[in-house]
Amino acid sequence: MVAARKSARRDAGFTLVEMLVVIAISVIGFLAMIHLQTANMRGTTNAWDTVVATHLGQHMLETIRMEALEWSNDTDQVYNQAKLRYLSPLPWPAVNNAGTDWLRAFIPIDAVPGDFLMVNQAGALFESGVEYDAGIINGISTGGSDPTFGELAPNRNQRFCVQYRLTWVLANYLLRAEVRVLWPRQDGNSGAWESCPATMAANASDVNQLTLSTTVMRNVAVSP
Amino acid sequence: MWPFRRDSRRVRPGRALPGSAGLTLVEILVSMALAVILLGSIYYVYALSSASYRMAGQQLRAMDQARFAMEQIRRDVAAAAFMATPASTSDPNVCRKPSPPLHGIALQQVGDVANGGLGANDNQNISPTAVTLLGAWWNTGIYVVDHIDGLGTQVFLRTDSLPPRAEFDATFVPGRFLRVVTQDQFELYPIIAAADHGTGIPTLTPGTALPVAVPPDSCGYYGDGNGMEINVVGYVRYRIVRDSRAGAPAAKTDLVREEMDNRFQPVRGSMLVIAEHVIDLQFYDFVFDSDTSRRDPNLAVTPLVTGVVNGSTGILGTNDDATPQRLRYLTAKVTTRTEEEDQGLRFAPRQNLFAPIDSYQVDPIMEGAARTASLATRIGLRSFAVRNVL
Repeated sequence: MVAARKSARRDAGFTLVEMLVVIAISVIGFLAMIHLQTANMRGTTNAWDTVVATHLGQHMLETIRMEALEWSNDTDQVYNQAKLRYLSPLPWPAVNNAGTDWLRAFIPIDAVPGDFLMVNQAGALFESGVEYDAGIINGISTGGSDPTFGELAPNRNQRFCVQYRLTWVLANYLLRAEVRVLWPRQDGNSGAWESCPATMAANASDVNQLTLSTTVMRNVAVSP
Repeated sequence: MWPFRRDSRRVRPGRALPGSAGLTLVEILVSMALAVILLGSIYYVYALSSASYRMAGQQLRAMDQARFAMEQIRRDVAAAAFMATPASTSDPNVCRKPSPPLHGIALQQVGDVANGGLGANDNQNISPTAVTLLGAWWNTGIYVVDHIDGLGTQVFLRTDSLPPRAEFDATFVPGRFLRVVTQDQFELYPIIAAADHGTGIPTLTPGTALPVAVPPDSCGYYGDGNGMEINVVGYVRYRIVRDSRAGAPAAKTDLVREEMDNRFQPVRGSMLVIAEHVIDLQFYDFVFDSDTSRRDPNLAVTPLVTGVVNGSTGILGTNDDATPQRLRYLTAKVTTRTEEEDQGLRFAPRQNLFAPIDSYQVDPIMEGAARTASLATRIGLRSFAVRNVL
């Protein structure tokens, strides 16, 4: 009798509760797999953003290095440092360990307050009608609507904020240049950072950043 | 009695044993339907994730190729004209002007890979640029001359300056330039015709024989040329070519680095694949310094490649009247693609030559498009800036 009741129970199939538990467990499993997938994709995007940010930073460092090659002032002549687009914010005459605060690396030619200051991976500013100034005094007069100007035009890529800071190591001779690239995390509130505010660097939960640095020396190879 | 069991659960015709009731058809159908749904969804998630895993891996490889390509181009462009000249025509140190003149950097529009796809109208408006660079790519060693023969075509190296055979043979290759710095610090660029390690003599093509300095023309060597320093320079070119190696997929394009001879012609057998699945190489934001005082930089930007080269003509062309010496820096951009197409990506042809490349058509019959990765960075031409040739 006992055996018969037992076997009858065994044949009864799954109860609703059991089925629900099974479904719940498989849903959790699926969710985990999907989550893994999105994490994987985010990781790929993040890796790419980091590579692009590194190159943007190197882009800036190279610009500063090249400008330092143009910086060849000697004691017997007044050098027009105002023409040095990136080095000109430095305190002249120089004092050891003095320097600039963090400065924006890419500035619209006609700097209109409120312009988007983020750049894409080619260093182009994000905002139609705002030209990329290539870091040099003379701007480019072509408008953003010009179809031939698209190489530097906004695209759908990740946006970055680029800042730099200069410090005298040896006055009037050797500089430390730091470049900082910041960009909103994938799940971050990118809209809040489009003007690249100063508070961005402190917000590590919403913003990725990396810093590159180098030293640059006055070009002593060029004799006047 | 064996083999028959005699117990209470004897088989009675027409009745199932307790505990062996089986499943009804409906139960089986329902469970099968459930199993199909379950397995189907598992397979769907699996297929999705494996496809996305595959694509993520390919994207990472595309990025890696772009990064490596960029690194190589950066290193070589930054070393252009090192131990050579930015432009022989304008360089006052080069006293006998070679013909054709030497260019530290030259760009070319190479149209043969403009459309890497198989369809007629795929991947339009992609037109990679090639860059040719002059420099000491094979050896930055400096060798010392013992004497020069009467014709000025045989340069005898000092025995203590003679490199080992392997280095000698890899450096003094016919077709390259010998950069000879005379006793007056002028530079001469004869072309190597032959080289023999046994005698330690690079032989020069007669047309580029070294001249003897006859004051007041001090362009040449004094005495027997003893003590002059020489090194070897030549051209390398980066460009994108269709991969024609056996087994390579159709429409595959690679970035290659190849040696060029003194007439801008590629040297056979010198091609080296730098990065694979590279679809575009572009240069833009050319920064020139128009300063003539050597102390007051006056930098201006030419934003597009069309402003510096048109075919072979232009400031940065390969033609004789190109004037690249004022170039200070430029921005280089490499675009690579994934090996396979992503079925989920819709192909949109590029609208103009300068738009971002978001997708790339490999096979027009298949749905989808390959994903792309672009990398751009500025590269400074140090030797140009330091020499400041006007």
